[in-house]
Amino acid sequence: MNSEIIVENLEKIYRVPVRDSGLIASLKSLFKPIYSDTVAVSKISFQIGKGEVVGFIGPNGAGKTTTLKMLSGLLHPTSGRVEVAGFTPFERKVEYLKKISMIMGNKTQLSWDITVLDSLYVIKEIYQVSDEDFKQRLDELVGLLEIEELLPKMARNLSLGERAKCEITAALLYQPQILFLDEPTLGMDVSVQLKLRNFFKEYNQKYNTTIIITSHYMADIESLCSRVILINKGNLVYDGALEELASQISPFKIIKIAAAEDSNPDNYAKILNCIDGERSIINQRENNYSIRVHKKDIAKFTASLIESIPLVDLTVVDAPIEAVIDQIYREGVKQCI
Amino acid sequence: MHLRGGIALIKKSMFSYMASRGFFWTLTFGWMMLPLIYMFVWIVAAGEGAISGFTKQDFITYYVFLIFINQLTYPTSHWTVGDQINAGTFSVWLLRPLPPIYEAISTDIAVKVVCLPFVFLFLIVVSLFFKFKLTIDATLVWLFILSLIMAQVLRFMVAYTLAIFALFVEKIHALLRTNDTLIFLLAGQVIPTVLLPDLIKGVSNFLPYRYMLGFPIELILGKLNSNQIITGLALQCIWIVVVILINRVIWKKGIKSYTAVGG
Repeated sequence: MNSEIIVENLEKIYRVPVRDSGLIASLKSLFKPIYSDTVAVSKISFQIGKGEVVGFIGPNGAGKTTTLKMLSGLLHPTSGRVEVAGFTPFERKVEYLKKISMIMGNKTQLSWDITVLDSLYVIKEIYQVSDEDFKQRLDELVGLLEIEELLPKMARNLSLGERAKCEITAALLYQPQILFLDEPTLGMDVSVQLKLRNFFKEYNQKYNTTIIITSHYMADIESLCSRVILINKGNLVYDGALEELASQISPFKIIKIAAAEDSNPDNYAKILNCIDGERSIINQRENNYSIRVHKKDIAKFTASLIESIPLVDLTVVDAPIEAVIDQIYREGVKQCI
Repeated sequence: MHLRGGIALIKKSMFSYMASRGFFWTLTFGWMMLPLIYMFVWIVAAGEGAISGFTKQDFITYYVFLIFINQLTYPTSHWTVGDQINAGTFSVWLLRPLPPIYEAISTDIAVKVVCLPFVFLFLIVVSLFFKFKLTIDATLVWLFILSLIMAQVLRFMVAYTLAIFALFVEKIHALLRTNDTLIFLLAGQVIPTVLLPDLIKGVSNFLPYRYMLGFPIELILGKLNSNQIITGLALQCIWIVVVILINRVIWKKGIKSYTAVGG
């Protein structure tokens, strides 16, 4: 693999002030502050190839954003090696900064008090984009993201979703080689999320841009990333395909059934009696049931169900990825596997 | 030097200032108010006589120049820089392929360009009202321009250097306010530095503050002899070099400890 990003034993330790509660402790800290070391990222290693789309997942405070900030050059690592596109990010060389773009859900590149188009012109000049390239890229991005009518508006007057689209336009105007996306769909409605996901997918395919994304929305990760890196408490706990992770961790499937209206009120007990193996009813609404069953018991259980209860519908689906991830966050990968 | 980016940032800041009308007018006239008040105080204090050689007419001339030079040299960007660092939004500046100081310099140039026409208008009105008279030695004009440029660089660099202390501390306003207070006292705003008590005058002669504001005014008004002018220009140079060196050290150490809070 031709690695565009190489991370070896990367570590970041924050020194944070700590103190006991109360007036005396707070007075003491004025003269003799006490610090404690917090390990945000602990000796992680991975490599990412050109054009890959990789998702960083993990619970809050896991170290995902800190890793992303070290990759972009915003933070100096405490130790370890990081190389992105042949550069050491924290040296912040001009040539490096022109190759990357970082979209942070809670920070804006757009200037608040000027029109979106004026902001885009500023970015054009900073990144020294030629008039011809600017026009061509702007037309393309405006078309794909449908932001034509937003260009003459002030950034402060845009809605969250509108601003995100303009933010993405600003981030891609100079056609970066590597894109860091930190919670890019945070707080957005479902249609905007879907649109952005499709956009990033197309953009990656068209320009072979390497994309690293952190998101708490598993739909973002599922639809965009061929590979996930799971970080928990600063440690890398899994690096591979999301489906692989899910099937290793969750050997269960969900069977959804709708019993006939006039069916027996004792259905609940009947369902449980259909199989001796590991199973549980995880949801029930009127005559609709969702049952979690071990993959190996699916055929036997389904046959038994059809025999014992009159059904109007039956579907078998994978366990929702959110449930799998929740299990990992709570119990850790090793315990889960 | 990335001129294209710099000019784009200046334009951006100018558009920004003009977009918020209330802020723009307050900023434009707000700075002139304080020196104007001191001018009135000293005019009344001087009466028809003189205070240590400063007549009523001298005070008028001094403060008219002070308003003009203060407007030219006052940096605004250090407040923003400090806030951006503390809030973590400074990250956006760090990710651009041009040094963050460009943003600060551009903001300051923009605010000056935008405000200057109003300052001139204001000064013309004040001069006519107070029958402002001045005879300037032509050779002093060149030295004045030189000292004015150095005053500008020094005042900006001191403020910017203090602002990037925010890379180490979580709140920076108190430090910036202390700096403004020292300028207010020792740079010749509240009183021309030549009129300060001997001890404070001695101190102010060696600290950088006088060279950010009072020194160019005293120079153009012909209050300094050639020795004092040479010493003053030399001290301006020395302070600029010292502050730039300190700035480099703070930046190198600070950027390592920057935690890019938020997100």
